[in-house]
Amino acid sequence: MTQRVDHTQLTVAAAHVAAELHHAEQIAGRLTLSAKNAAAIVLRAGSQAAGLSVISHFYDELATETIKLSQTIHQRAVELSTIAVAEWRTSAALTRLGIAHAKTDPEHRATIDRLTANSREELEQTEHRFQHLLMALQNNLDTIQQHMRAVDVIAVTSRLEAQHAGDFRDGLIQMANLIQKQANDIKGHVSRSLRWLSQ
Amino acid sequence: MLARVIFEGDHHQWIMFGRDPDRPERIIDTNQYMVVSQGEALLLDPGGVELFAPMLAAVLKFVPLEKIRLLFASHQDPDIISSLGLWDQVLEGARLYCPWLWEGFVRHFGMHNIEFEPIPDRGGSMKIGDLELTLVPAHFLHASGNFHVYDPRAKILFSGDVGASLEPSGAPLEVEDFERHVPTMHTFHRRWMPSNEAKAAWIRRVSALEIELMVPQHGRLFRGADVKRFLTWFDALEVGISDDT
Ligand SMILES: [Fe+2]
Ligand SMILES: [Fe+2]
Repeated sequence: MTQRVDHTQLTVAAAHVAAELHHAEQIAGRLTLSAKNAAAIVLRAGSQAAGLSVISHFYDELATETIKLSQTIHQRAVELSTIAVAEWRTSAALTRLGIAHAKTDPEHRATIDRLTANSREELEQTEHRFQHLLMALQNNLDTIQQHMRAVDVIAVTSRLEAQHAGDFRDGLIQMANLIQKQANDIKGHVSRSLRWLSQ
Repeated sequence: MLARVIFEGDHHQWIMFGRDPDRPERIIDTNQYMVVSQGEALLLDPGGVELFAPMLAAVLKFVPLEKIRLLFASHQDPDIISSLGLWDQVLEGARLYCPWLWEGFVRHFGMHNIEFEPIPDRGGSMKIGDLELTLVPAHFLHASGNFHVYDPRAKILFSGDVGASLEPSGAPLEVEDFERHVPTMHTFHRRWMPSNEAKAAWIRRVSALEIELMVPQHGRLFRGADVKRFLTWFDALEVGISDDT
């Protein structure tokens, strides 16, 4: 028994994920810039912001890794969408073979039965690949969410630390706010992606 | 798939899609274009069935699915519109502008939801957002029913298979040195374009337009003086010839 899967829906969902991650990647690019700016302010603040020098490194690392992850997910999502199209076409072929089967005399049905079996097998294989890729993709998305939660926590900490940074206080707080906003924007794109995949 | 904004106006945008690194081997490389005006989108020669998934993903980076209102097919070739059956399943309330001549043919790609807008031989116009685009007859260049699209505001001519060049992947987006570009166009135009008469009529028609960018469905884009250079070169070229003729 082949289960009823809406391949159109899957294709569209995967394509949406690819697009969302494209945007996430662009924001992650801006996030690395913010991380570098934060590091520069920390450096200038010297002893006034000593507690922040480790923190600004964290931002940079997380942002750089997020860019890489976004690229991977984008690529995997396009692949997922392509596989969904392949499944879509195979299942369309199966439907047509069913019609051909009904229209063929019983003594000539062997060929159609063979083709149907082949298509079913192909569909099962692509379905397997699809599930495999889907899982990898969901893991990647979860990893980004974790990174962004970490950025969020660090931003809160650095705002507290910044209170003691004298002249650099306002600059550092502004930076932390921006970084937090960018992390949240990325989280938004990833959440939407996860929603697309769970539909 | 690469996506590049090739025109950014006050109220509208042209985006080019192509050079897909994951394109299956032995499939001709194609350029797809999208025009966005007031949030509404039109896809010009949306491409083949094999490119549907990357194309969809690339388009969604710019507009949500429900904003794709129009498709345009310059002619009936599979590299132009064999993805129709798939778009048909994902778009709602969209319309396809296509030469009237090909309706019965392109319907073989599967079209149940999209509405067919037949373009009469003399051409006409189509509207996306608040932008009116001219449908320029280009019959027998190369298909017997064929149109190009002119955007008078952006001064862009979408020229379908005219101006096509065949190059290895990784070539630059635009023509840089016209003379050196000629060999990549020569065979294609001689063989795929069947009629010198049709060619001359098209050149007359297109010469009356002000064109800053000519964008074909294959290969590099022509900017500024290279448009004129192309018209001069094409005018002098004998077409409708194969090596065995
Ligand atoms: Fe063609
Ligand atoms: Fe073509």
